[in-house]
Amino acid sequence: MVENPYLLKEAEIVEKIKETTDTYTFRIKCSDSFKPGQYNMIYYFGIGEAPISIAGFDGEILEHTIRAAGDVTSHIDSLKEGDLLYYRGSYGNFWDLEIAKGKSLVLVSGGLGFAAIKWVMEEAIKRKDEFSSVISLYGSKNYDSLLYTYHYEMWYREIDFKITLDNPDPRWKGDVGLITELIRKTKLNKDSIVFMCGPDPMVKFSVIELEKKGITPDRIYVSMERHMKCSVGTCGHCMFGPFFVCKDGPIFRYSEIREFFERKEV
Amino acid sequence: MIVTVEKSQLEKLFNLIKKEYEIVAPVLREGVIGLSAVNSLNQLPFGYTEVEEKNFYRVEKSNDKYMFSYIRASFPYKRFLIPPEFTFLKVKRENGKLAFEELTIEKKYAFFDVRGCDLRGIEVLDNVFLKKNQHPDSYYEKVRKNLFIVSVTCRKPSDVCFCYSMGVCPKPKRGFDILITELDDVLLLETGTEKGEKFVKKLDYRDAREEEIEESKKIEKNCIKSLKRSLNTEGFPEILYRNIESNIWNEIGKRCFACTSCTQVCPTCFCFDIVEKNNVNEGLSERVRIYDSCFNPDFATVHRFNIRESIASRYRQWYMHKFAYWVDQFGEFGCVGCGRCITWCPASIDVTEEEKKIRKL
Repeated sequence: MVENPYLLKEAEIVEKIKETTDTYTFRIKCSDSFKPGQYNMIYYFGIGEAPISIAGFDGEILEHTIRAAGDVTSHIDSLKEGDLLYYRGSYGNFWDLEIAKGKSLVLVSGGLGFAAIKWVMEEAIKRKDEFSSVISLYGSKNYDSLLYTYHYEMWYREIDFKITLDNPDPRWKGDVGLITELIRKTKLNKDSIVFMCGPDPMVKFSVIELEKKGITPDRIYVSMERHMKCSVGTCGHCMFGPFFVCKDGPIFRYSEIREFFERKEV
Repeated sequence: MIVTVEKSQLEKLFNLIKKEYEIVAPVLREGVIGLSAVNSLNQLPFGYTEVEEKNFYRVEKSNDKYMFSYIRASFPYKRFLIPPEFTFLKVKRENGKLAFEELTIEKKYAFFDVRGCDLRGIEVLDNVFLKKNQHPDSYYEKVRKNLFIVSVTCRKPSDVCFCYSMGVCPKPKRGFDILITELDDVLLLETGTEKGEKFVKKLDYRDAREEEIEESKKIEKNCIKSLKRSLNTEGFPEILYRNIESNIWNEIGKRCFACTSCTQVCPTCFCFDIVEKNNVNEGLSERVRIYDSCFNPDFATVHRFNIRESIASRYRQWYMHKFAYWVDQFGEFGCVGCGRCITWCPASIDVTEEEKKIRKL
């Protein structure tokens, strides 16, 4: 007998952190097993499911950062501390830090894509002696859309953590401009390994900047977002060229997806 | 075992199977040969045949003496393996918690008269849902496990069939419990499983003679010879990948209505959507799986951004999935050459003609 792949598990929300006006981080008590880069399908009663990347897990507490973007995520964001959250997972492949051992690890993220990078960044901080350096470049549209501001002090201390805002703000003293400019300004080794997550256009143009620095697409790993309904490779919605993003991804080596990624409407 | 029985024994075989299974078979209804649950062998469209061409379908009285002179039904068996719409999970809100009830499909079907193309179609779906999936589909598995298959050798193809070029034989080699080949005077029965053998042994049979086996091979050979269409698969995935940006997709896109006809009649198209059906008063929500199609406008929408806005890109997705992506995903083509998409396309788009055009690019 095959196990039903759609059965949901329940877990209690122990903390709800307001990140921005429409984004919350949920800390969920949970004894499952997860890997950085993977995602869960989160269900809201009567509304449906949405794939949400795992923003952290320490063995007891699972973190999901959720922006109220669609029907399901808007409803999930209405949940409170003490409520139960229903999910199935984890799904997909993971950020493999072994690839970056002995090399410079460069993390590039944009907007909510930072949620898919955060956990592997925390792991990289724990194991930073294994890399020649750890650089994290994060682009956010506005000052008010910055995520995880309460962690910045620690991240600034531990690694080369840089933020750029698309739009200037009187409260912001740091870099202003697109993430591509921040990449251009940052000194990066040719043999760096890059983990990236952000909107499709950001990825496309960031790759161009990285290539100018001699970092070839086979050293760039990208976490993709597509419309996933089943997450088990059968509903067909997330198909992207010959790949099912839900099970072959969400993380792809850029050299393997480039011919599809840079084409329209694939 | 390979045996022969008198044609009159077919009814006995049907009734024996009926005792243990719910039989689904071809039936003629409102001028179309479809598939339906049946109680009697008489409901099968014996004595009829289909005339099919691009955007053309008609059922006629056949002018030969055979029972199985009709061809495959107008749609495939997949709807009996995965229903077009079914509730797979019932969710109830009780005391602040959710309770889940798993709904399984309790069906014990016998498909009576599965042609080579549709048999291969089931094999392709087995790979998608079970054999080549790390998260096998429990709903598909449940129905599939109980399934009994009676296959029939095609005596003649329709004008849209191109099975042989997709590696499908009019006389199936595997995947059936019982295979029937209608000879001039008798039926040749071959069993593929013990389950099949059990039924055949209850019939009034005798061992097949060498010349009868020869006759069945001749029938297959003639059927292959009569095929009017073919699709050359040699190196085709690579050719498609090379022409992913070709203007041919825009040309087809202008003709295609994105009506989803082809995906509905295709034996291998498997895409579905998951929707919620709510009953607010009872605090009940049903999770429903419902057929979807890559031709539907919002199929590939991410956060209200439609990745495949143009019909051309949706047609390319469908065609490249069948003949290129599928090979990378499952090591085989997603087409079995049944030709139904040619018959039922209201825009007269013919996948075999397009293959020839793409090769010339």
